[in-house]
Amino acid sequence: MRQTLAILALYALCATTNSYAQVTGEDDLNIFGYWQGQFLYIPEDPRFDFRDVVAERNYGKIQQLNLMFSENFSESFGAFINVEFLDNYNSSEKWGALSLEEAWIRYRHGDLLNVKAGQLIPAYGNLNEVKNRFPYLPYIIRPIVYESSFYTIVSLPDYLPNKAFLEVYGAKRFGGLTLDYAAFVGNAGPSYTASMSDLSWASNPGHDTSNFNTVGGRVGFRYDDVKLGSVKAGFSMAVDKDNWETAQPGALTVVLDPNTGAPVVDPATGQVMLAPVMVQFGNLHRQKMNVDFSYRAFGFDLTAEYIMVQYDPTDAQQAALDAFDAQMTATPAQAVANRIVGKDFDKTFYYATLGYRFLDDFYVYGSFNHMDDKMSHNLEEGIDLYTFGLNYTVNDNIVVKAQGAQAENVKESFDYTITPYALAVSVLF
Amino acid sequence: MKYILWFAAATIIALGSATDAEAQVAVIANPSVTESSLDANTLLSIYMLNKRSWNDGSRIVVFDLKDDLPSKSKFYGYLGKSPKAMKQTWLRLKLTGEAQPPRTAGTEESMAAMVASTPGAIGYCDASKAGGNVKVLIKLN
Repeated sequence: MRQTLAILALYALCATTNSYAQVTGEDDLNIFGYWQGQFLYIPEDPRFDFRDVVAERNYGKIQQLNLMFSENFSESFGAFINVEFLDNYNSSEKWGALSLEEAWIRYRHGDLLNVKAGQLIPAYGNLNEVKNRFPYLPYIIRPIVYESSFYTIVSLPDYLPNKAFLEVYGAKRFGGLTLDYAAFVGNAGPSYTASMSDLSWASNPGHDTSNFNTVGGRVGFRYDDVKLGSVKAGFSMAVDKDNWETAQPGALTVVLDPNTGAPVVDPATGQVMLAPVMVQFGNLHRQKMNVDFSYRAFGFDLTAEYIMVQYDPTDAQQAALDAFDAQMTATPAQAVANRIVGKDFDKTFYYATLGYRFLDDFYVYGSFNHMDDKMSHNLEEGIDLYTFGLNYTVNDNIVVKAQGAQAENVKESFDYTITPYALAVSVLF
Repeated sequence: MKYILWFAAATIIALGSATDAEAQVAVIANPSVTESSLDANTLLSIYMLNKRSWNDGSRIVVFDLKDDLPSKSKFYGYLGKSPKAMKQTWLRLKLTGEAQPPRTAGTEESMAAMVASTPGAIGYCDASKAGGNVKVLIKLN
């Protein structure tokens, strides 16, 4: 009997689905996606002289390809899948990456209450949810903490909540004013999912073995007026932990002969011997905070975000950092081959982009970004990125982009500047 | 004779322009919609897919017109947006899985027919093409 009722309920749901489907046209499985191909040219820069790399580079690649699937099963339920291929993905060549970015189901109970569950990108600031939606974004080189190709320099998940598995969100309108909210919970950051010292026995690839979750949300408003334009602002926050459970090199120092004080040379390689100075802080509690703002009117749009990552070290953790810094201060400068860990824990990022759409199909913009990471010796004063670009919308499916940028490390002892120029085509299908 | 021809041509152009300027665009809804009028900001919220339900809780189904129809620029001019800006808003929603862009009608007549046959629907078209099967919420001069 119970089984029969369940089948009848399912049938009723499907019947509702069909009537809604016929009305909205959102019933069908929608398969769509986009890709962006780019050509990048980085001219030789005389200041870019560390690590003996050849600075001049020019190459073309498929920067990103996303396949998306969406379907509304009924007025209340919908699902979405987003698969992402990065950087000329080729598994046999070991190029790029393939990832299941999103796979979620949504329950909609009116405008005020929506629930998403699965793997999702949480609402956080202005760009987090759309950071890889290239047909929507004007950029080729995105603001620093949203640019996945900077991952070797900047640990992006340290600034943004990467993924969540549950999000509740909604909005309430009062005339042109809309108040909106989102609250999410997600797995620990990627640095936890690969290794966790106390649960290493349970670790499997891709499984989160941590015993805590990232918790966060956003509250904001938008005001749309036919004469004044649209303004949107919000405050986001995410609370999680930084994984310093295992000891990591805080610096590389030159091994000195205890008798002579001279550097010890490795007889096998002929190189000066280096020794790591290890640091270990344990779990570092932190709060990521984000204030976002955007304003669009008369063809102009201004978008800005300020992200502050504040750590909350215990007395013991602060003492460990202070002890490491004191050791570095006491070490002769010529003996420190490479200091990695900085003098503090906190991080900052902000950007502002001003754009203007003209002749309907052209969009020009300029942007300034700054990020710093006090925990990284080389990034403690930060990187400034100036960029400008021009987009031409060929039609609803094709956008041609050009962008120039200058990224400069502010720290005098680690000063370098890179000036990439990029051309791209973004294709929506 | 030449002046008369010039005058006649100018008169025809002026009359044509006047006819265009006087062409009204009607914001139309399915008769099932309980609202009898809308203010401009609410209409903007509906077309930005920000407001998705009518006041009685029923779902709003939004329709749009093909790009090159004159009613389109007049309608979006009233909303203070260009059609391109509106498409950008819809693109964000589509790419985040939040909503599909409005369905597009190829002609003013088909817009009126689609709105007339779809419960909760809203659209716009030349007022002269609206017909008697839809509810007119706003007339734009």
